[in-house]
Amino acid sequence: MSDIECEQTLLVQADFDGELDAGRAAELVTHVAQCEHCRGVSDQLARSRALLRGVPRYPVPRALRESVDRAIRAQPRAETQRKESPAPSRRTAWLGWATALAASVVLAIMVVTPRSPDLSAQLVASHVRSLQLESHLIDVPSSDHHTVRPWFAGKVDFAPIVKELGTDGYELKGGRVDIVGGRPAAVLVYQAGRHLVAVYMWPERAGALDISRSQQRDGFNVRRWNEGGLVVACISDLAADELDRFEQRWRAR
Amino acid sequence: MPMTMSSPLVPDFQELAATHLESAYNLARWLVRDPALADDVVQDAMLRALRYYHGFRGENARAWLLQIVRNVALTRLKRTGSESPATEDAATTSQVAEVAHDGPEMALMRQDDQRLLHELLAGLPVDLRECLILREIEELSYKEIARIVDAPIGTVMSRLWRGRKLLVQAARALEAV
Repeated sequence: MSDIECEQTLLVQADFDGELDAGRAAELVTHVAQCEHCRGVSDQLARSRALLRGVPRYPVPRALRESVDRAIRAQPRAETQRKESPAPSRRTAWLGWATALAASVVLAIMVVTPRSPDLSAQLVASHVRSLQLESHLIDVPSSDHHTVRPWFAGKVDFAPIVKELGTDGYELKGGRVDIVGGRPAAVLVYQAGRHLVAVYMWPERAGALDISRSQQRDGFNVRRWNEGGLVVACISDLAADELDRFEQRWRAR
Repeated sequence: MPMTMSSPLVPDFQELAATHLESAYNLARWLVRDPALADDVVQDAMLRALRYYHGFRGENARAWLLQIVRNVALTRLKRTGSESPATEDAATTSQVAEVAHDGPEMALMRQDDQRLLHELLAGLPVDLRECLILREIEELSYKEIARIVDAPIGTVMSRLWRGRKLLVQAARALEAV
């Protein structure tokens, strides 16, 4: 296509969108450093994002929310469930009671468990908790990725990405396992001057866990990207641009 | 509240609809660009989704729902004939240029970047616009976008790039005015 002057253009964009694995991303860094066109592409990508970042979603009119709700409620109850339960026979009636009891237990759990469509609130809560409980911050204290990475084996069902960023000014302090969105996440902790950066990761296949790419919440900055089949989210009290630098350095390795 | 016992991770439809209503409405608004029509589209899409819900496999509810919203929206657009779902490259540039060259007085009068930006975005052909909305506002992955717009990932990538480029060009043109 005529407007894709360098064949790497779409790859630069894919990297920008967090769609490349670490290996491809690293190769691309080398190319972009030498290709003027691709540097221009990077600029344009950043500009377009800066433009669009401020565009909010259209707020849902209350009347629409209510009418959708009404319309769904008006449907037969069984249809609003993914699987229809078979009509209870007398023989299985007791099972129905047991199910109802179990349902009320599950319901009780769901009511007391705060559910958030965006995971960042949980991420911040988890991070704050780890800071409050000094003993909970790090379970494997080590600055050696050969020690940290194997430690996770058997504790999480994926292989976390562990990087040493000492030469970039971020010292690996260690790792721990934490629960985010009801699933185990591997957490690495880095020291950046007087600040800490916690890097959470879990497999993409966990799916449906929603977290924005970049945001600020309760004074913490959060960045999220996808890398090597994992969702990587870092949270820190570092300033936004400093956390951007951390992300950049991390991804360049 | 009805519960799905088979898998506690799959919410019942009522909950699913409430969770993704904002995404659904936002996409509908950006596709049809008319508040009343967007209401209709969302309402219709939700009922349709409910009808298909038994076949929903429980993964990625948002992409699944947005796919339905998009189909309903494009059908409505075709019926009203207000916008064709795909636009040629040539038309693309002139459309954006039109918005950009609305005139300096207009640009000054509005003095509202947000609104201007909305117009620039709205001026993009719908096939580029939807990719940008899904990527930048809804923050979906290429794979999810490809599923929603029913196109190969490579097509999504080139539409994203063209959309972004046009947007930046149009914004530059405005600044230059």
